[in-house]
Amino acid sequence: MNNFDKLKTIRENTDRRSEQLTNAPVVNSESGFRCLHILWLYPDIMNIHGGRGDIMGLIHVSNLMNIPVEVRRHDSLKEDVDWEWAHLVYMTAGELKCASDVTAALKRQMGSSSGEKAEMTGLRGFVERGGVFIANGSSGAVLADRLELCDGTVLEGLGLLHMNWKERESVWGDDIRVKTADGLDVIGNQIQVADVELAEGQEAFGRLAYGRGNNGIAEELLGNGVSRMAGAGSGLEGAKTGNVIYTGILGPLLTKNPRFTESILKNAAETAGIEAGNSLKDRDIEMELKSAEYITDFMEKKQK
Amino acid sequence: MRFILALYIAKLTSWGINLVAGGRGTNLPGKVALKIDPDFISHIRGLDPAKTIFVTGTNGKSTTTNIMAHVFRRTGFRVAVNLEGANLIGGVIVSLLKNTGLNGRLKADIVLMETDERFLPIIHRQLPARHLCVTNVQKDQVQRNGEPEIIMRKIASVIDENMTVYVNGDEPNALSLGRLAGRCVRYGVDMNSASFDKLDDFFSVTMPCPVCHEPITFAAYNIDNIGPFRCPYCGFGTEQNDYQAMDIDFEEKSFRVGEAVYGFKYSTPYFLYCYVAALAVAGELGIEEENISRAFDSFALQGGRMETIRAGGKDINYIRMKQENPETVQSALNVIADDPEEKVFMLGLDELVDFDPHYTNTFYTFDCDFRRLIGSNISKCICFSGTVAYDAALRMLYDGFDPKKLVVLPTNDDAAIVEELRKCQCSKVYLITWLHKFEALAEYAKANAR
Repeated sequence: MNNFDKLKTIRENTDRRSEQLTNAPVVNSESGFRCLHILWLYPDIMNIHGGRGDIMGLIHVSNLMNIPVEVRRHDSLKEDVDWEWAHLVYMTAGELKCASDVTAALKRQMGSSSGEKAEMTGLRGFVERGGVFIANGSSGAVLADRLELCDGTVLEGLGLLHMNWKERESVWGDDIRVKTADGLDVIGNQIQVADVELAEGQEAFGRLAYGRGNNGIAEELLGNGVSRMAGAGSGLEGAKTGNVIYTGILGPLLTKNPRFTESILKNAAETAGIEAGNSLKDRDIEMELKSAEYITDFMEKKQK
Repeated sequence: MRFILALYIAKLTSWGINLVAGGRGTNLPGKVALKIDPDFISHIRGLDPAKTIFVTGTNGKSTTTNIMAHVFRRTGFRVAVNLEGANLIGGVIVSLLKNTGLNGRLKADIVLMETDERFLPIIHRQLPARHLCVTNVQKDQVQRNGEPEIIMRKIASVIDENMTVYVNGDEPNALSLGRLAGRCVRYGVDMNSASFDKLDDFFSVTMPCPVCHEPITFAAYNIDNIGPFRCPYCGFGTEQNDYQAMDIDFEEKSFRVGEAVYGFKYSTPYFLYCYVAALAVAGELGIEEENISRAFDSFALQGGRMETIRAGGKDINYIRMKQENPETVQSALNVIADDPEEKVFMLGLDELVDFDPHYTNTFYTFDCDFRRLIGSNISKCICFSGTVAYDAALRMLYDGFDPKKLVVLPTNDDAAIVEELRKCQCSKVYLITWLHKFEALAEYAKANAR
């Protein structure tokens, strides 16, 4: 069985109407295992830039790590999410036009903020318990304090990450390379429709090695090539507080960066009290490593 | 005075370019005209907004415009049209120049212009067409357009109560634009033998409703993200289209609208929508069914979506697609998947060089479904590219392709690509790549023909 056969088998055993998808039958789980619960949030609504690949990436890496997972979709804004069930929530890149409705739907589900962590409910309870919540691309606006659109409309976000978004008059699209605080090298593409300013004290997802990130590359890294076009800025990319993460990196992020995918699965498993499974070996991700080699080389040439 | 000066100098420039470049299309005369007279178009005498049609949208603009122009011309109208695909304001001016006399008066009965979605407001400011055909608004050129909503806003900005808008009633974004117009004519295509659904995949996604942002449900897809649809939350969806292609027969190459039966030479769903769009516009402008039918029968497109070259001892069937545009990629994949014979599949994704900075986007391929293609008897897949060959290969693996049949060629070198192809036993080959790469391969094949 090759690396991807498990994903193929799982996929063949489910369809769009399935309540959930699980890899439990194909990973070598011991009896009495618990599954990691992954919630794919608003897949039909926040759906642009190949985001469904992120969910495929999560499952593929779970297979490689032998972590049993169950994945559920949550499709409608009108229905409430089962925050008690989920360990990892992923909202793939979506359009800014949907940010207002998605934010309103999630605000309705924030839940109580007082009492012991274990007693907290809703989205707030999920976050306080250490649940992993990732939004990438423009879906990150939902997690922000504030989003200002070109037409002057101002939207209050969920405030889970202290950042302000301001829609840009023009789009910035390029490759991106980031070094995270954990020392991971994360690559991909960026289609930036808004500039992002982090509030004082807000941790970034990572530091730019190439690309525009939140609002421009660090002055000292400005080369003579395209980075000068991107402009000087904070040199930071995304935002992160505990296990709540926003990054503008697309690719899909989780298919291009299996080491990063591994790290978020480990975090989610730890929070859920589930055995973290195997660590990825280079031979598991040979194709991804070769891909990264060529793309990183391309970025380095552009930077010169 | 300024206009006449601009007209003469632009015509002179156009004449000079034709002499040197042998009639190759260019925007330069248009740019020259605009430099001298920034309101050049609005100064052309005899322009009638009521007889001016713009065709815009993500996909199908050129083909639809070509079919419409053919129908009008065959019916006896003089048409000013930009058939060369020069759809920015400079290209529109060049087409108008060809149909404007030295006295500054238009010598055409109808102005028909394919217009780039982003430039539509700029062109419309000078030439306020009363007829606008919107083929579809989909993900495309994300480095420039970002999200479809950005394009939606631009198109919406020119629509008003004086305008008749012709929209694809099976495409949610286009249909929602029709709600802004004084008059909306909807066209569409019945479910047919090429229609498909996405129910067999847990990972399949639809799109947010343009009205309420809840998920839309498609009854079926005729093209990816185009088909009869409904939002189960607000009720927005495909209504009774004014021009609906029915009884579609891809074998016989015929379809029916109302009582009239039409033939069509290019038998794919993509072309069918273009034919019906042309039919809707021509029908509303009073062209009779017999004339439209006769024009369809004699219509032939310069170049096509599929071309064949011989290289590596094999005929390579090239299917056009636009990188960053998942719908065109999916349509190309579907065409190949429809062929059950054993085949070699060549996938040549590449870095994007449309705008600066060039970049390595391949994420749009995850909006496509490769599984039907993968199940269609591929004996070998060759992924080639100087930068993203491994990315393309990963995409194939994610949809279940057998790695033993996969060759990754991390180069754009034509000789290496053809040499790899020569090693294949199978003689049937399909190629998906961007046009520039295909042209380079065709050039190489021609130079090395033996």
